[in-house]
Formats: sequence, structure tokens, C-alpha cells
Amino acid sequence: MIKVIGLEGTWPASAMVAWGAAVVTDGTKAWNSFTGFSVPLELLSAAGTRDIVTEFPAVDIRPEHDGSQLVVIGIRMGVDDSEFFRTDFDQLGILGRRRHQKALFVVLRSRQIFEQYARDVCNAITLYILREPGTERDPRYLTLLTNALVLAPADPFLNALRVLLQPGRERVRDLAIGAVAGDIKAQQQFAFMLRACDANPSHYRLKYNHGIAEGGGMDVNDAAEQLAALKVLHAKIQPEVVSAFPFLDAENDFPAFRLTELKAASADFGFVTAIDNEPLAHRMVRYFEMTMLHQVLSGDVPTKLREDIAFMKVLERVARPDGITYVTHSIVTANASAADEAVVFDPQLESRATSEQQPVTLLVFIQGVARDARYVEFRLFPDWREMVSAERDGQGSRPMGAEVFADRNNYLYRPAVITLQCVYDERLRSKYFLKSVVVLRDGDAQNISGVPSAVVSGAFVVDTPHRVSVQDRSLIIDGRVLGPVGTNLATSERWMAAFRDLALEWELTLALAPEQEWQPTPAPPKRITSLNRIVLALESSGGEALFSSLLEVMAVFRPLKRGSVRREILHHPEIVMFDLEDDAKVALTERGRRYAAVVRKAGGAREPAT
Amino acid sequence: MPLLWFHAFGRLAVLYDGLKVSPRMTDTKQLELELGILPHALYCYLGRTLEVFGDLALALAPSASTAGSMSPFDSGGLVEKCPPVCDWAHEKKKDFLAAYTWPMSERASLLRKYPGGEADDLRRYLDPSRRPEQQGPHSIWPDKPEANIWELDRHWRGWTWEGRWPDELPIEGHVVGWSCAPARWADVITWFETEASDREFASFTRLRPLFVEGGVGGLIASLHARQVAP
Repeated sequence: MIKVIGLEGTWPASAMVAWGAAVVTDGTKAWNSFTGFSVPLELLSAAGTRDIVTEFPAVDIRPEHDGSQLVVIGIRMGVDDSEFFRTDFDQLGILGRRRHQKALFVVLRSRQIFEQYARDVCNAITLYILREPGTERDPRYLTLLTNALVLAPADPFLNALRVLLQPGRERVRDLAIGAVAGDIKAQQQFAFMLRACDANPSHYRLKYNHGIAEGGGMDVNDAAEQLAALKVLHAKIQPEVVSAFPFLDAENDFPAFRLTELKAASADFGFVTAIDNEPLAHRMVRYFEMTMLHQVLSGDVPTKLREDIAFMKVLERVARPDGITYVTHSIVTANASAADEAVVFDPQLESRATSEQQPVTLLVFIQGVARDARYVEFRLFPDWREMVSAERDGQGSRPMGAEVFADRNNYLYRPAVITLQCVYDERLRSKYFLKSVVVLRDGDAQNISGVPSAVVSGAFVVDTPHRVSVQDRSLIIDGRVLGPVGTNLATSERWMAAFRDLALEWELTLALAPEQEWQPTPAPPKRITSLNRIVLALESSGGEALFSSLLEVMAVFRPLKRGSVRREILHHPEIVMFDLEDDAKVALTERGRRYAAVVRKAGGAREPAT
Repeated sequence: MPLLWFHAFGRLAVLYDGLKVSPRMTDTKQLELELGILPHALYCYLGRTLEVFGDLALALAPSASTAGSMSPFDSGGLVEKCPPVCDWAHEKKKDFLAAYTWPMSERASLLRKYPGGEADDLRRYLDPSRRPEQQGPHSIWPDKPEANIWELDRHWRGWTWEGRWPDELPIEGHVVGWSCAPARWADVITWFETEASDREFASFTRLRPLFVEGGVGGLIASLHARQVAP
């Protein structure tokens, strides 16, 4: 039998806990359990020895542990908060214990077991302090934290909490930074916790530009759907939080997203982290979830979540509620802020895509870039923005001409001719890949192969070649001047509006040509505009109907308010005639018949996906 | 040669002032007077601390000052502990030490002779269960006085390399790692955060990232692998 008779080093009275190498003896010599180096026992005990140990009555250990890196833990008994350092030692697998002079000494089998013990204790203390309200004002917590550092001096969370509990103490911060200096992950965790627990609340804003509902704003149903989607994201993100902060308890430490602002008129959701009198744990979790939401809506989705089909579906719901609404987000934290930027939904379907549509070459202008120009956003039409990868063309290459985005100041709002290709999987989830891009400058001319449908959002009129050029700073298509080319948004939106009007005329002209084709979206549209529904209902009735009959036909698809149908009809006299004198007869105009044909050919008659 | 110099100590001041000879009379100074070591010196040991257990210790790179001297045993042990030399006459002990004292500048060539430059040599030197194959340093340096101290001493002090530096040894820029008794950690950081001068705190801040957990034993164990790499 060998005996453990002490632990290496002194144990100041101020310390709640001590630990270290065991002083092990076989009766003739004493050795250090970490190094194996020994000293004759009589020299260890001799007066004037420079070997320093904290001794306690011997604990017998079986000889097979002779060469183990035994660890001794000492815990002061009866001292405030020292119970945090006691644990279920039997479950931990200890080799022996001894009570001596109001202290408990425990012998552990290895450094690994000690590290597990230290991790458990430090996690418990971290969580305790995070959960308690008002920890910033009570020095007791600081004492507990400092003692916890005895077990784990480099623990990023303990060090961050010490900084938080002593605001303005530069030395505390400097030493804490030094504590995590050698470990990149620890540095990230430390910095994260400081930001997360900062008393100044962080804000996240999710904005559905132009609103989700027609005409702007947000229907209650839409708001409920978006919030429900966010609730699902909250649940899906939880495991990521627990993975990052293992001391958190999934049952008790996960407050919901705190919505502090909801502007229906602009479809604007505002979230905040810090709430008065809430424990730090909630602030931290909210911050983590908020930054993660910002991360995933910036297109940076962790692999595990990317493979979660339900997660990606909900993420798409949040990022792309329909084909029209332009979603932006911004985050403001204590020491950093990200400007309002388009959200990126990038499902990375390359590996799963089973089908692809024909590439279409289009006239667009460059709306902006995101994520350090890894994504570029094009304006395809006045109400259609599409964000695509500037690094991946879907076939393992970089899109041709995408190097132009390396120069930050040389493309914004300029017209460009791009080739896009839509790929989709068996669930009809789709995305566009940029195949090539040419920014048009004075004197340039390019051909395009199609234009977006002005009737059915997301569809293209294809195989309609047009010649686009820039001459004398004017954008010209098939010889017609669309307007001046500028480097600002307003100028570009003006020619884009003119382009849309022209494209509508082309589209309606081609509507009844049997050989003309449209390229619809792979999936049915997420919504059908009221006008398109009226047009389809009238077409199914032979092109005309009484207003009351029209309402009945339309009610088959979805109930509509009489007033809103009437208003829609009156707003589009070039499409639908409304003869009040002829028993309120409603009829498609010639242009309306063409319009209805386009709706069908462009896939706008399909029932919206649920 | 990857072997590091180790020094165990008890005063926090070492961490910001470096190693300095104590102004007080100490046991070490008494031994130095017996052996004629003047001026008084600072001691480090190659591969580990001389003490098996300690409170604070640091490890210095071989680049630490070359102004000292070195011997293949603990000089203090010659006075009372290392047989057979401890039983010799006073002058003979001094001669023995003088014969086995080399300037620190010869460190590389000395270490190639003992313990040797191969990984096995280094492992043996740092293995607590093994002692040198030779009976004493005279087996390696045959023109020097003969004494079987490596065979007869039960303690590592008999065959460790000792480095001696006169008066002081700056540590800034040479520390590879340091540690303290874990239970002292709370007091250490609290003192530096609240009591230390700006200069003292700045020195400690530079050392903080080099802290090794686990006390003196933890420091030595953690640097073992690095020292046996050839």
C-alpha cells in the first residue's frame, strides 16, 4: 500500500480550495505524483527543507496507482460558498478522502478526472452567477469567482465574468486577456461573453422592405407567420447555444427572442438583448441567438443546421417570405455594428439539385454586395432583387467576370448583363447561380436572351433576344433609350422603371404567339396577386362575367372581400372593363386577354405552395 | 539542446524583479562560504527544479545569461549530502567543485558529453527512476578528481546540472513557463491587480500568458516532452 500524505504547495487561509500534485510515499521516499521525482522521506520532513507541501493525515492508496498522476483537492469546510467546490466525489471516482483541520482532502486518480471536476465546478459557478440578478453589485460573487479561478485560471467564462463584475478595472481586464492568450477558442468565448453581457443592450433589426402585404405594411397573418418562423428558429438554435456554452441548462436558461419593436407600416421587427432586472444568463443567450440569427441570415449557416431541412425551410420563410419583399437586417452591439444589409438565403443546393432551368441572360443593375462581396445583389426588375453568390457558379467555378466585385467603387448601381441559372431539387427548392456578369460602360454592347415577366413575379420571358448598349451615358435597348446611366440608385431605378414598362409591352405583344415561351419558377408562386386572380377567374368564365358571379368563381380559390375586388378592377381599366350600367358586367379587355394568357404561360395560375 | 533552466522560489517579487541574491544571510550563503563561491550566486537546475515540491517555479530558455558557470551536480550537496564528497576535507571539496566548474558559455559542448545529445540521453537524464550509467563525472572527464557521486547519492542533486549566476539573473525575455501553487493563484492575481506598481504589473502581464497550471509539478511535467526532443 502507498500513502498520500499531502499536496504540493502552500494553501493560504484566504483560499477556499486548493489542488495540486499528490505527495505520495512508500515509507522511505516521497514523490511528486506529477513528475515522479522523489526525495528521501526524512529529508521531506526535515527542518529547513525547501520542499513545500500541505500535509494531512495519510490516505491509503492501492499500489497500482503508484505511477498515476494523482491529484489532491483541498476544500475548506464551513466557509461561505465553499460548498460550490464539493461535488459528488463518489461518482467522480476518487481514490480516498480525509478530513483534517476543517478541510476536506480528496485524492483523484488522474489529471483528466481533476479537469472534469474543475469543469463541472466552474460551470456551476458560472451559471450560478449568470442566473443571479444583481451580481454586479455584490462582492461575494467576485470572491467566489476568484476562488473558482484557482481550479481553472484560463477559463474564458470565469475571466470574462470577473471583468464584468469589476467594470473599469483595466488591470483585471488585462490579466483576463492574458489568461486566454494562448487559446483562440477561449479568446473568442471570452470576447463573446464580454459583448453578450454588456450592460448596453444589443439590438437586432429585421426589416421587410416595402412590407409583406400588397401595398406595404404587414397583415396580422403575415406578422404571425414571421414570428412563428422566428420562434422555430429560436428552438433550432438552442442546441447550438448549449454546444457553445455547456454550462447552460436548456430547460431553464432560454428566454424567447425579446421583440421590443414592431412597426407594421414598414414591416420592421426589432429585438433587444438586455432587459432590466434580468439575469446575465438571459442576456447572454439572447445575444448569442441574436448574433446567430444575424449570422444565418447573412448566409453563413453552420453545416449541421444547413442539413436540417426543417430549419432551412423556416429560414427561407424568414429570409424570403415571397419573391418580392426585400429583407434587410442590421445588428448593433456594444462595440460593433453592422449596417443594414440584405439578408442572404443561400441553401447551397449544388449538391442536391436534381434539375436546372435554361440559363437566361438579362439586363440588370447592381444593387449592392454583402459579406465582403462574397454575395452580390442584382436588381432584375423594379420589385425584384436577387442575391447570388459571387464566388460559386453552381458548377465549381467562379462566375465569369465576378472579379469586378473586388473593386468596391466600380460597379455599384451600374447596368450589367448577367447570365443566371436556376437550379432546384426534388422539393422544388430553388436558387439562382450567377454564371457570368459584364458591367456595361460607355461604348459597350451586349445581347440579352430574356426579360423578367412583368405579369408573374419570378418568371422570365425567354428566347427574346435584345441588344443592350450604353452610348453617350445613355442606356439603350433595341435602339430605344431607357434613360441616362448613373452611379446612383435613383438614376438606375428610373431606367429600370422604363425597362419594366417596355418589357410589359413586349410580353403582352408576345402573349398569344404560340411559339413564345416563358420560364416559370420551379415552385408555384407563394402568392397570386389580386389582379391575376381576377384575370384568371374572368378568363375561366369566357372573358366576362357579372360582378357577383365573378366573386363566386373567385371564392372557389380563396374568399375575397367585395370591396377589394372592386377596387382592384377599377385600378386596372386597361385590363378589366367594369360596366356599371350593364348589370355590373366585368370583362377582360383585349390587353386583359393577353395578360391572362401570360399569367397562365408564366406559371402564375398554379396554386400557391402552402 | 532543449534542456531548460528551472528555479523554484517563494517570493512573488521574482516575477517582476527577476532573480536576485537575497540581501539576508541564508543557508545557501553559508554553503557558498564553505565552498568559496563568491560573489554569492543564483542557482538554476537543468531539466527540473532541485526541489521535488515547491510553491513557485519558472523555467528559463537556454538563452538566459551566459555570464554564469555550471557543474554536473548540486554544489550545495557537496557540503553535507553528496557522498563521498560530503565526507571530504574542506579544501578538497573546494578543489572538487573548482575542477568541475565551467563557464556557462561552454554549455553546448558540456551537454553533448553529459547527458549526451540523443533523445535517449535526455530521457534518461529526466527519468526519475534512472541515474547516469557512469559512477561519477570523472568517467566523462577523466582528468578531473574521481568521486562516485552519481553512483552513491540517492538524490537527483548528485547528477543534475547546476547553473550559477553571480548576484542576479534577469528573466525578462527568457521565461518559457512558470507556475505557482494553485491555491495561491487567487492571492497572486488579486495582489497584482490591486497592490502592484505599474512596473510590477506590466512585468506580470508579460508573464501571464506563460503561466502553466498545476504548480511546480505541473510545470515540470508539462515541459518534459519539450526537453526530450533532440
